[in-house]
Amino acid sequence: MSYIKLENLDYYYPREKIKTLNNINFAVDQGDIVLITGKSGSGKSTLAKCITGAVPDFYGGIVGGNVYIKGENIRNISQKERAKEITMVFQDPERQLTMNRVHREIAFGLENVGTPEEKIKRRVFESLQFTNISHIAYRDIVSLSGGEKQKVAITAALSYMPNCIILDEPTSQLDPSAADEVCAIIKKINIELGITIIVIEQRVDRWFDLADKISVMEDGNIIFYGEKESYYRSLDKRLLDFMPTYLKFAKLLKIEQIPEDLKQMRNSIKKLKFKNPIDEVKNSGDIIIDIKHLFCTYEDYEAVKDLNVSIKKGDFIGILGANGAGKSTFMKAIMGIKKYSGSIKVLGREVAKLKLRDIAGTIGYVSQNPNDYLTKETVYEEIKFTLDNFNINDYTLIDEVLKSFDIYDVKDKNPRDLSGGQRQRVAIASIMVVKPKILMLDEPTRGLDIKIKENLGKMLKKINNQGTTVLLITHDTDFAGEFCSEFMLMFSGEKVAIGNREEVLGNGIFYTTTINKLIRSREKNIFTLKQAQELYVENEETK
Amino acid sequence: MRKKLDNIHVFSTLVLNFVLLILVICSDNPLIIGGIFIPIMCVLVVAGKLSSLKRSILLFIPFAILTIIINLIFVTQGKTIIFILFNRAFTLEAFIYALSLSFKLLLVILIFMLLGVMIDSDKAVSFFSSVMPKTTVTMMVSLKMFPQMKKRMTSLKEIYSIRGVDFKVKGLKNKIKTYVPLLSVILEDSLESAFDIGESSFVRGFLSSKRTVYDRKKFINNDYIILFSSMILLGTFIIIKALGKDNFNVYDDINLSKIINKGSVTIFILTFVLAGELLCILKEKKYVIH
Repeated sequence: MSYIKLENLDYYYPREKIKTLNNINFAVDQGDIVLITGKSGSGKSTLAKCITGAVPDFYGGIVGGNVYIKGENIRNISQKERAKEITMVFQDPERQLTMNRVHREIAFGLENVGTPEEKIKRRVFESLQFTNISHIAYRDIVSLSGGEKQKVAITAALSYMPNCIILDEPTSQLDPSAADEVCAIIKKINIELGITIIVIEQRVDRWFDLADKISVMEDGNIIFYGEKESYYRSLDKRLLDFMPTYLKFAKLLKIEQIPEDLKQMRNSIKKLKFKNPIDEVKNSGDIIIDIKHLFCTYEDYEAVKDLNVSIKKGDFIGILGANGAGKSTFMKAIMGIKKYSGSIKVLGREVAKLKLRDIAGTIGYVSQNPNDYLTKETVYEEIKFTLDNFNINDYTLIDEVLKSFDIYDVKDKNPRDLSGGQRQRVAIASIMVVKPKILMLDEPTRGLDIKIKENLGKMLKKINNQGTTVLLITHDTDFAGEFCSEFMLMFSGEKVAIGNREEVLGNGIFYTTTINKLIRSREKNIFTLKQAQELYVENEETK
Repeated sequence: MRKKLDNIHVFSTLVLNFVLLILVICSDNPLIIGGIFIPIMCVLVVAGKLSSLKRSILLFIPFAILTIIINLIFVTQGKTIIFILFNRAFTLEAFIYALSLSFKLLLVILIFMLLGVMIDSDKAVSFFSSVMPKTTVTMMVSLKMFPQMKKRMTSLKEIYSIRGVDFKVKGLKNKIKTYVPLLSVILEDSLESAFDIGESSFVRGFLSSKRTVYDRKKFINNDYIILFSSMILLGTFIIIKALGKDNFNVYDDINLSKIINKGSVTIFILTFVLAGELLCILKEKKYVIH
């Protein structure tokens, strides 16, 4: 008997006429790690909510079919028993933590399900010890980093000692190091405690190796569910997007046996030869941003320290570094919304002496959340809003920017009804309509699925090719490696490396692309799958 | 110190602060309101909030001066004239009334500061959620949202300034207009955030059964002392008021006997005793290496 079984499950959200889940049949064995992946809006989170009982008990709507937990229909299980059996960790740690201190947050759920008072303290501190965060037990939650908050949420879930924990994109808001730590905790929970894990994630690289089974969803349907081996062997091209990069490469090389992990893949290709990549042509444009001895503070600490950098016209710079490295503060200082000492000259003019309005005409800045830019009834109105604020009456610019960003056909739609990728485009278009010479983006790929991310990269490349200088903060080295031409690596407010891919990523330990990590012992200057595909020399061993 | 404060039960803390608040509101006698300041000051100083206390008093001085000036200008009641200007008498009674009113307001603020120092918010939530869980969770979510909304407002102001919105525009109507997009984002964000916290709480079994309490605080001797002293203080005050022993009205007559009388002296002594008890309760245990 399967531990969790979904039988012919259909679901309509309240007032929706289209099914979000369509005839889902799915079974999870006790102790497995199941990875559910798929595009944004494919129904992954809704499926998880059906298993927790939040659908339909919290959301309402119409449900068809059945969900069984240990053979018992979920409709017959009380909320209390269900909460003890299966719990969930959500995407944004900010929106799931209710208490102020860590130890009380862990205890919150235990209090809810009526755990005997003499057992709560032991559960709280044992869970904290297990996830190795007992040193922050008495800390105020607001003082924690994103990674620490997510670990608190996982510890709170663990404290019930449930039989299943569902994690909905648990690493999407975290930097790579924090995300790796979260993965390690989840693995430990599964291996040592035997707790069944269901992970919902669009970016599979980190989770694929951990998973026992893979499920891929599309438009409310499960298009694949099974072992990794059959997933790898499947001829369905739709699955290729949701394979880790090294497996995509293995598929390209037509390696028959699925490599178990990156290490095995490295062994599989150790005799592979690559042609030398062509050296990239250095940008010889004029300096557009000149920064000298820049210092900035964030709250009480020095976030940017003695930073010197010259950015040339036409550069496409990826700014990398851990959370708290000073990347956003650096960008805000260039934008003139953060006080600084030293000098920032944009087109020869000192930023501190300019009005924000004047800077905004030259530099466009797009923050992390595209929803911050969406307040009007239609996409057209949203773009017009920026033009009106700048007293620009040439409304032909609106059509121009909408066409350029491929959102012209949705110009009369409410921007909040659009997909994640389209919303991101509207946000960027609302800034680009005044034709700034420089565009700065703070983590634009956060939470985007692989297709949307790829389209965003292409669009930014197009803007860059048209002459706009682009500065982009990202944790996604694969994305940066594919689309950026220059890179700057920051640690603790300092610039530790700057240069092109070869100079920065090629010399990186951790801050480089997956493909580079895989084949750098053979050829250190290959960074993308496309490059690897183009440059490998086929030999007998890979045939 | 936090540990000592944590040992005081939420209920005793609430009773103590409530009694002090009643006394501040119901009495105009300078000796009584001066007496109330003593326990408040003692706890704040011992809890390491001396700088906050000083800052509150300093910030309050301009307000007190303003109140005094306004009261002196508009109120001519009183017998003791300090000076006459433009044929207008400025009385000592109006001066003292404004001073005492300002001080009472300062005390109310300090009582809330005291409450913040004495009650750990999580401890309070734990206590109240076992008594009235639905109300508590609603309050909890709302309270968590205000600082987040403030933070969001700052970042949204930056974003919309970059989009050309001029927040320094003149006129109330125009000002409101500039803030509409920000408020619409914040409203939607807050609703989504509240919904998410609600869902997370639901999945974690909130309201699924009778809650148990983590780290349940029991009444200890210190709580009985605080409750007893607070009740004695309140009871004595009510009796004194009922007997008319504290009917001090500054505009009637500034008479020292009306300020210092049996009733007010009794209350003053009781507040003094209360301050001493609180100091003893909060006294750190000293460890000696033998």
